[in-house]
Amino acid sequence: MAIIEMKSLTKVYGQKSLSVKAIDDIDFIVEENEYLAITGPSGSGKSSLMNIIGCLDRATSGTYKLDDISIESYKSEGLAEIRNRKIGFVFQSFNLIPRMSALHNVELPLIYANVSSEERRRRSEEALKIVGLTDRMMHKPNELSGGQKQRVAIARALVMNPAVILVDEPTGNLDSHSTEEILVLFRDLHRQGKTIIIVTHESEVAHQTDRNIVIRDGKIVEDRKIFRVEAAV
Amino acid sequence: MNLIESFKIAIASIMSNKFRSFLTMLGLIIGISSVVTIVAIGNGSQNSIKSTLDNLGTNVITLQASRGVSLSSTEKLNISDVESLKIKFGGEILDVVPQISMSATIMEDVDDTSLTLTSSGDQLSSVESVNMLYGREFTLEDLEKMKNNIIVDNELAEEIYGSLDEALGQQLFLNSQYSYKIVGIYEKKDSNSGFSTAKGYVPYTTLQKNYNAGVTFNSIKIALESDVDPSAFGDKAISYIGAKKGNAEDHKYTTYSLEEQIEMISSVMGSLTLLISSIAAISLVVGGIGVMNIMLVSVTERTREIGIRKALGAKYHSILMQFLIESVVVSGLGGIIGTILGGFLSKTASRLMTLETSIDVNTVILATVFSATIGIVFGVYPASKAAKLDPIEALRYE
Repeated sequence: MAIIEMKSLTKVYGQKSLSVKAIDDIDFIVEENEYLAITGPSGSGKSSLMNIIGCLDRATSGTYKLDDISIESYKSEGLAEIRNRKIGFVFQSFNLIPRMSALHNVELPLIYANVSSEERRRRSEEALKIVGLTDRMMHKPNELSGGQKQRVAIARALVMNPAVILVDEPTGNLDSHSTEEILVLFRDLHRQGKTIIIVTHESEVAHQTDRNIVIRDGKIVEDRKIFRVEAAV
Repeated sequence: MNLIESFKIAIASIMSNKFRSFLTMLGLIIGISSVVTIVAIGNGSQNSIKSTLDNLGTNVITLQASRGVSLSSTEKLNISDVESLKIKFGGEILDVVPQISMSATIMEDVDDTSLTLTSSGDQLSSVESVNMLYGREFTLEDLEKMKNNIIVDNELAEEIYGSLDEALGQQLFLNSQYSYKIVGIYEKKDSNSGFSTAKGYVPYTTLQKNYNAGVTFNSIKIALESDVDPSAFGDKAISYIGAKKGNAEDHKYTTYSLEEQIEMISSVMGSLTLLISSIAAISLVVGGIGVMNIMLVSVTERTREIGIRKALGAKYHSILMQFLIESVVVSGLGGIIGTILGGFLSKTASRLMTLETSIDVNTVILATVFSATIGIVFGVYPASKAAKLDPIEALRYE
């Protein structure tokens, strides 16, 4: 089943003679349980595409279906609800709220979904367990390492069990050891059936996924599957 | 997101910036505490004036010349008017007493030798609402024979003679001129102003004879039976006196009752309190602007947080409520602290200045509601600014 379906998608910034086409007539489909990377140099339009996939922004024209919902008919309040239920964001700079504990950060999307406090706690603890942070639940972001912060952000993205986990430059702020750990975690999540889209300009990260979409000047210039041979144990 | 969650988030954010939140509240604390203190002092003074006047008895009216009217010698009130009022309205009145008041000097070894002599009829306790402790009131005989009798207060009696028992029947020398026999002693009431000279009552006929003060009077006090309406009776008395003096058409006389005076003084005190409170209320507006300013800073500081929250699904009203509740909590808390401080200040003022103060529930409710309203009014703009932020822009904010 297609989780993401985009047809003739265009995003134009500015008006008339000053307008810039950030996304130029893109078509693509992401199936359930895909693990893919969108890559491209800066200014290629990958951030604009990510904002549209994440329902933070709307396309100028074309159609976008997320989990069978036509996004273009929604206004900002409806988009907020779709983001809450269908998208799990993981940002480059973690974007955790500094004065709140790891557990409370993970609870945030559940608060906006009106989940009761007991249920919130249960689900957040479970999400933190998946990312291996059971012993750091009450720590505030400034008491955690970069890798741990990113794990909290991943737990927050998982907690609503969204249709898509949308990841923006996940390793940009991490050392090589933490990068390795985070990529292993994504691979595990993918194996558990999650649909993960990573937006990155790092080809090493892209190569860890199963499909690479390369964007240049707002167009898809390459879309290929990566076949990997699982290392024999 | 429900209201409780918004409330929790707001409290957490206030607590994460305690000192700043306190400074934000300070303007409102000062404003509310000033208003509460001023209103408490105003109410207290009003109550104390009322109770002082109540002590004088309310069913007593005073007949006198209308304001701005100068009476000819035949038009002035005299002893025959007093007598004819008594005869004409016998069933409705307890007593009619011409108002004479003069100061005298006590020729004894006392701290304060000044004494105010006030005219009295044979119904002293009804007309002046005094409480007799010892001895008797004046009789018709005292009045008719113009006896040099006096009724003094208990403090003066004790100061001069040691006890009330000793004082009764003693001769009190005034102005090295006359001596008065003490026939009664009344209870001196606590004065709210904390200072008053001694007062002695003398039959009005005696005052008239001794000091030649009673040829004409500026005013006449009429004590009415308790079931007589003072203002209706006042009208009758005015037309009667007008007819008697042959100037009924000219409205040369007027009456006022203590009730009217109480109302007038209360209304003056009320306006004064309102005026001063309004000035203090300006500081509340200044406090409100302070709240708005800090909320705007807070929104800018937390732009990224707002972006995160929006990305995670916060809607317009969730963000709006978060910041609005924060501003209402800060202002409301400022109002509560200000009210408590105001209560404390007015208590201190009442102790230092021997003033009566009174804080009523309405003031407390009004102060708290008003400060919370300030929170809403001055919090709406920053909160809606936060709620309108574009999530992409907000997430990019460094």
